Amino acid sequence: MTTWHKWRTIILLFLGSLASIILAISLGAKDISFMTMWTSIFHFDANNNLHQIIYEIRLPRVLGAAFVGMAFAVAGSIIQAVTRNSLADIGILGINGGAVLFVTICFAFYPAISYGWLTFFSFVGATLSTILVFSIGLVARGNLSPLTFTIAGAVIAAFLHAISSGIAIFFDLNRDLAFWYAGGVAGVTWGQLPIFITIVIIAVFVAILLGKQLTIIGAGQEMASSLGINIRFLLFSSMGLVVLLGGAGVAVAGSISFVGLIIPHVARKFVGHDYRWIIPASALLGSTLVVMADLLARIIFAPKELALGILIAFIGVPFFLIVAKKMEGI
Amino acid sequence: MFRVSANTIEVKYDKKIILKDLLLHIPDKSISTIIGPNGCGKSTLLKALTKILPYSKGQILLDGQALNSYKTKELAKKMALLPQSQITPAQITVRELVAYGRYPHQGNFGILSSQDREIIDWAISKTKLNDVENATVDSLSGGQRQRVWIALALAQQTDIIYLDEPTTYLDLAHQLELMKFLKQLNEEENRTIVMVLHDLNLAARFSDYMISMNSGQIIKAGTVEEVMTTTNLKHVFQIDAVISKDPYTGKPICLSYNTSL
Repeated sequence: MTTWHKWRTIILLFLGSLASIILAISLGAKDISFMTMWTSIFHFDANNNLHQIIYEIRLPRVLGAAFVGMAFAVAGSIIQAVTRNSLADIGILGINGGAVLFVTICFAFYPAISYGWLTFFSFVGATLSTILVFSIGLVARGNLSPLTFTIAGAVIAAFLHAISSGIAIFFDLNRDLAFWYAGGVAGVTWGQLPIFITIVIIAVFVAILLGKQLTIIGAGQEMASSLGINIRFLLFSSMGLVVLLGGAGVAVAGSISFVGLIIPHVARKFVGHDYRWIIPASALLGSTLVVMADLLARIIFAPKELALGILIAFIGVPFFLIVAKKMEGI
Repeated sequence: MFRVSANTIEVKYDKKIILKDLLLHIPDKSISTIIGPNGCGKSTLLKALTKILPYSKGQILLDGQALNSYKTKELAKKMALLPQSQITPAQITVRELVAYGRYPHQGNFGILSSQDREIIDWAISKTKLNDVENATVDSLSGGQRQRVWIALALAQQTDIIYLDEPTTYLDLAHQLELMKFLKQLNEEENRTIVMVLHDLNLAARFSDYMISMNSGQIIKAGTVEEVMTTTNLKHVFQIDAVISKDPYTGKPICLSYNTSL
């Protein structure tokens, strides 16, 4: 695969992602033409009903889906690179578990909490659980092996979910929490988007800059270290990126699993094993997947909506099994 | 002159002391081999010398400067390491893996210059991998795969190369081929080579300097003739060794041995 091939792939993936966004804006309860979409964005008319649908409902939802997909996919790529485990996802750092626990606590003790604060606390929960997994990994062995991470992450995630379930049952919160478990982008508002999109774009950009180091660590920590890579710095900075991306994604859309697991594999099929290319390819593929899945969730049983997280899991589970099967063969 | 020396270092692994009060000088531009029983700290010593494991007491000096004061990337321009077990990234080609060796010389984003490409070409032809340079590393034989890792270390262009049991998994002929290649590198390009070996006769045949270890300490270090003695091997391995002269090379060889009583 030459560099030219990879550039061409990235451009095609970018166009695909753009096309999915346009399609998702135009299709729905009311089908909207491309021209109307164009004028609504560049010559917004507050009195035009269609313009309002696009601006107030579709655009934030579709942009939310695109950047949530990007965040989860890139976070998954980074996790798979540093743990050298192709079945790893952000769940491995307890990110989902921490976010859900904090949201549960908020609902239990302050049910009237605003959506903005919920978002904030779910992000805090994601960060704290990651720090917890990280420090347990460090304390347990004194070094950061992929295996310690995986084990510490699995244990912490199970622990956090157990506490959340306990609180949810005790305070009878399951209805309020359904969204955070199932995940979705229906509730994304303009208020959340600027900061969320900024975080995702910056984190993806930094991840691309770390791409070469993430590639080399695939040859093991000793090899990477003897090639001049500061392992500690790389692990801390990449975990920081994962917390930013995963935490922000969970805060906006609840726990949508499988995006971070599936997309890096698809990206590798397109651009090979080099993370300088896997990361941008993952970002574009992730956004396309979530935008298209959200569109399907809206239109399959319209006017009823399917839960986005569940629809993605439907695509994700068979894929997961195929990957696991293939790894067995190696 | 000794570019590498360790002065009474202590190295711990998981809070357990592995090396204690260890004193060592590595002669420049020569082949040094570390021998000793399993678990005596050979690999730990190699990891300490390459800054993969930190030392808690004493000092390791490289070119008169403390090893832990070097930036990892600066160090990677001076020394290369071939770890005991290698992890081959999936689907990587020979050329792509050898190119990793250029990382310390590049910017962080790792774009290859034309000079980098020339050095990669040189490393590949030096290790006779031209025919397979675009094949995936997974598809190669054990001997070829070992040469790919050596090529990576060569592309790194360091004066010092550390190898941890490089002959493991190789048959007799490939072991000999590898050792002759390392000797050639040492003689033609003045590279300092430091390795851990289990095969005493291979070590005796190709080393200028031998370091024998037991329980985290050096028992005896010196020329092959000084280290390959019945008394010393008894100390190090608890064996009674019959030392003879290699008819090909005139070096000492261990003809046979028995458990020491």
